[in-house]
Amino acid sequence: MTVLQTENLCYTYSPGMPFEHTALHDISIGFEQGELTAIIGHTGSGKSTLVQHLNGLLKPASGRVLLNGEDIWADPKNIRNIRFRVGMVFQYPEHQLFEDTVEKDIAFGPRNMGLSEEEIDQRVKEAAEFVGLSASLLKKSPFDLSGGEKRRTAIAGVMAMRPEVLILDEPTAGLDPHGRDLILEQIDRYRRKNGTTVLLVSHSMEDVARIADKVLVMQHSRVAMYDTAPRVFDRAAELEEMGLSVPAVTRIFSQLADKGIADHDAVYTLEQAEQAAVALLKEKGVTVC
Amino acid sequence: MEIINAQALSFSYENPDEAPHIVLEGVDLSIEKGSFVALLGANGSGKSTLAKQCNAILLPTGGKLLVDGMDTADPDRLFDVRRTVGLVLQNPDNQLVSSIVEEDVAFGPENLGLPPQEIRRRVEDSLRAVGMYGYKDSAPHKLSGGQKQRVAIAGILAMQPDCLVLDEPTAMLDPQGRREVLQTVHALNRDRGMTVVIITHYMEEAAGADRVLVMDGGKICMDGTPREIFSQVDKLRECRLDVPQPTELCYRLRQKGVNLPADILTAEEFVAAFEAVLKEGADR
Repeated sequence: MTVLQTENLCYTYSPGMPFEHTALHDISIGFEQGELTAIIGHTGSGKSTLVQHLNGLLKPASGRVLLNGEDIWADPKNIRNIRFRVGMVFQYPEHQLFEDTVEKDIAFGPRNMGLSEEEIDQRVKEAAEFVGLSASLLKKSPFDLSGGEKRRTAIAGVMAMRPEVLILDEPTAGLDPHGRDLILEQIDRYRRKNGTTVLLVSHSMEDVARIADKVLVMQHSRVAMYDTAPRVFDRAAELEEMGLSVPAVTRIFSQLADKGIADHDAVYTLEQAEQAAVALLKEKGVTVC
Repeated sequence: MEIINAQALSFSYENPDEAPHIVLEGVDLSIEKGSFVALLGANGSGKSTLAKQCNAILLPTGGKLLVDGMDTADPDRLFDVRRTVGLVLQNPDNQLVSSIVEEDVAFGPENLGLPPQEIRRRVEDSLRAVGMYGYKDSAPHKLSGGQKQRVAIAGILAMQPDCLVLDEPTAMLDPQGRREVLQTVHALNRDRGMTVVIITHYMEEAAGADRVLVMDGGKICMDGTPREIFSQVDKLRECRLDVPQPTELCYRLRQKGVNLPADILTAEEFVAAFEAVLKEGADR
């Protein structure tokens, strides 16, 4: 089922001005219920402009955005409600923490939705658990937390609204490898449990490769590719031509394929690479235990 | 000759209510002039604090730090220390102060009270060194992240430091911007003999350094060439770090008894070594 959809979406910054710039050009795509889609592309390719349309932060110059088949701008007064249903976690969301305890900060969204205190409390606990924040941290000031904990507090604040679609803009930027893995794991677990549709804007192909069902590649304000992860990574050469780096293991196997050693199958995670390498070794009679 | 020399360097944040928060604990370190050093470590390991010690934004609470022989704690040498070590930070937007690129680069030398011709010479030279001369009349906010970061580096170069310390200069950039900044920093090291200390979470960036330092819990726990460091996969994991993907793949295959070298860093090296193993198998 298609949850969120764009129809001929166009957007231009500063129309009629000397700095006029087309940021989105005729985008028609749909996101399926429960799928995790990674959005990649160069800075300036239109990724952020696209996601800002999906919860009504920007209004299309032409075209429509449909949530469960309904135009989100059908009633402009209702747009606040759309933002509860399509939750957005911005880049460096920890810069937006402001309450005096972690608990209150996570509760901010649900409280604005007008939920009962009981319901708010339950949602805060649930969201905190999803991002691995222990109960003892809830009473602390968010400013006393580590960078990774702050980031997870901010993500929990959006999760607590239980949006149908969760959009995260570069959720792992600036974190160390351990923090990166942790957040990606938690996002993956959250969407599997709740069936939430997730869009993840990322520069890191290696992160994307691990958890994405589909990959949307933006280039020059248009959709360059939109397909399942294996099919997109199969076009490694094209991605590299666009200046997007593919995972190192993908590069290894495309080089092996060019030498006629491996097949031209897309390998894009370490696990796949390990399996493929073992298979090749066994074929040549090398002992592998 | 060493440019940075830490002797039992310690630093802690004092807190009247709680026990002091120790960030650096007895760091002994010497960095040679002209070397290219990558500093790795998980969040909270003390990397940034060490970087800030190098140009006296923070001062030791124990031990001492010598920059080109000058004690950073000596108030009379403060400006000389800062002129010797230039610090580039993560977010380029926080480091650009002017609305025109060349004026931004001129900010430092203007504050040194240099004659206008000298300022002009340094600004042009610095912008050329980072490949941004063509943008000298542009507005910084119209540039990409990588370009902004290169302008920030030019601003530091205009102060003519001997050593550049960069604290995650690529963390907020896209892959293209990362490449631009990395190439610029490597060129400065190669062509001008600039000492470079770069903090990064990207293992591929560290793989190109002369020397890799790993910090954990306020101490330096590993120190060696990229090959020596990245071949110790288990120890890096203990420090909550990763290894480059080709190294990890090699490690996993070695666990299965495949005779690959432990010190593979790049995709190309892996392909060559893997080919050799396959050939050996076929010959047998």
